[in-house]
Amino acid sequence: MKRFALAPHLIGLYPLGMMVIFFLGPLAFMIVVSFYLRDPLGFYKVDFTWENYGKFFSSFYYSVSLRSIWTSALASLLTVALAFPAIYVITDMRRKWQLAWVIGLLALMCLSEVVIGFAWVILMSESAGIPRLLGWLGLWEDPRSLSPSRLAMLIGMVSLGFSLVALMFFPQLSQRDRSIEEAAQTLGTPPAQVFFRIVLPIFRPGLAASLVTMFVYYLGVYVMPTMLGRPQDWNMSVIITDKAVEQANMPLGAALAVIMLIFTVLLIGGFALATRKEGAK
Amino acid sequence: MAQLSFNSIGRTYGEFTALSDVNLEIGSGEFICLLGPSGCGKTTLLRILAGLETTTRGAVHLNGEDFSNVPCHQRNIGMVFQSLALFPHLSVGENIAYGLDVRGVDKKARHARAEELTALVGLPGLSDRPVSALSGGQRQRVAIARALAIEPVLFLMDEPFSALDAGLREHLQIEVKKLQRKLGVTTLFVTHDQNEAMSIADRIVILNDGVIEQAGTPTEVYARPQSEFVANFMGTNNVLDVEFVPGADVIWNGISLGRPSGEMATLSGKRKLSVRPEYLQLAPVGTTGTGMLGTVEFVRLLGAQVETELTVAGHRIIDTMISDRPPAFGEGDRAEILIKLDHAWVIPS
Repeated sequence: MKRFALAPHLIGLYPLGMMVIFFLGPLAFMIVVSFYLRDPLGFYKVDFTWENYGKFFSSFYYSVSLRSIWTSALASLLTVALAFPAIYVITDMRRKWQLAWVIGLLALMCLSEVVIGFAWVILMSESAGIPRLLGWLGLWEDPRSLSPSRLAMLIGMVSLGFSLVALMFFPQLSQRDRSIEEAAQTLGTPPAQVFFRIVLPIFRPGLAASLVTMFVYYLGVYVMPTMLGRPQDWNMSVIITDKAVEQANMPLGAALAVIMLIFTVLLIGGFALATRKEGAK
Repeated sequence: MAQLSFNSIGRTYGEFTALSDVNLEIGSGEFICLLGPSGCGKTTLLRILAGLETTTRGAVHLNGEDFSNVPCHQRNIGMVFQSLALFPHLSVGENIAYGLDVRGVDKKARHARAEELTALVGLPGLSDRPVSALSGGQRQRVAIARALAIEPVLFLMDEPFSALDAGLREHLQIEVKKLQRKLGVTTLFVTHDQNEAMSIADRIVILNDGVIEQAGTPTEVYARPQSEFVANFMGTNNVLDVEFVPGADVIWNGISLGRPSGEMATLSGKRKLSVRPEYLQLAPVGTTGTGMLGTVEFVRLLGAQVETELTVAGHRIIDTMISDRPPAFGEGDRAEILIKLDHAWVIPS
């Protein structure tokens, strides 16, 4: 008879415990709160109501949701489209230049969102930044501050995710078999087309994964929209904070957060399913 | 077809010289093996030909025209890479048809050509498979078919079989040779394996330290090596520092190797003598009384042959003979070594 070994199963308790403490616990609390009633003087009143979820189904939240999705999608697309070719070029540099770039990218990552945000606020301001420079050069007759605006917010978001995506692809790209690209050339591909005809298709699964990762990441950004965007550019994360903290409506904030979480889980699940189907093909 | 000439090709990387002054003429339809130890410049030469590497001096002429400035993608050269470099995102058929797709050949013609080539290399019916689902030997064939699909003017292979096991490697060597004869395409094959070179090449070009040591048919380079390097690199050999005195015996380390005849009898002075192990004979001590005596150090059986390593006055001598022919010698035995001087080769100095 085979003895049941307990120890290997016990090891699983460790990640489970971590998950419960740091994620499932707060999540359960949030789900519970999302069914409570708002108490204008305190946090909430214990109850069971669908009212908070009902509020989501209004044109205001629809437009916030759509805007969040659209902004995140655009920002993730821009980030991957800029960072992937950049790291592709970097991995073909000499070793010491590669190292310099990687250190630079890592340094960019260790800066706080707030610092990057402020840097952009200053750079885009009327008095000190790019607009003033353009005005001084005579390229812009009537320089105005570029932030807050939708563009400023997107730039801020992209600068946040750029090093993340670049470093995500660094190992794969630096270890790729370069003779595949050479083979494409010997078969008649002009060097300028090798990137589009060979490199991009080979990295398609990785690119798709990074797009989804960045999309989900950008759904949750809070600092950049508040610092660089106008209220009409704010995404769901900012709205949730606004409801829960500014308007002291924890139950509504919780309900909106749960909806956002469900959407994200569905998205990742759908992606996982799609890639699995592709793998089985 | 393609007639190729290298005119004083040189390639340096900073201080390092990969190739210096390479001159070589290759005839149409020839199967050339570039052979040499690692770092000898053989792969660099192949890459220069493909247009993946530039020369620092000299030029390559194809059918009389300098094509040094033709970019890689316009050369129409089929190349099989050491790593094979198959496109992992494409199926077998798409890999093979890739070069035609780039050339704007329509889908139907591409498909027909891919089918033709899969049949030619012995992979019929596998067009729709992803390349990741193939075995090592099958991937080799796809790489060969992909390079041949563009009807190349030159066919280059960079150690394509180095990752395969011995049996499969021999099998593919024979197939490649047959395929090349059938298509008549001028082929350059890089290898560090002298057996591989001997078995498939029309002509072997032996490189060492960026210089061509010798270019010749397998028989020429084996039987008449033009340098000590070639004599030692091509198979097992005994290279002896001997002294010729006209009208007297050949002397090696104070030991007489016998009286030379023919052209060898006219030589004088210190020379290097290449004596293949198969032209040495071992006999029990006292058989002739004039042969040199050696002590058997090591014996190993190589199937049809038995190789015996002996020491004579502190020098190593290798002998091979057909394994079933007596007498057999064991380790520690003393034996008389008989040299057939007629079969020895004096390396030109």
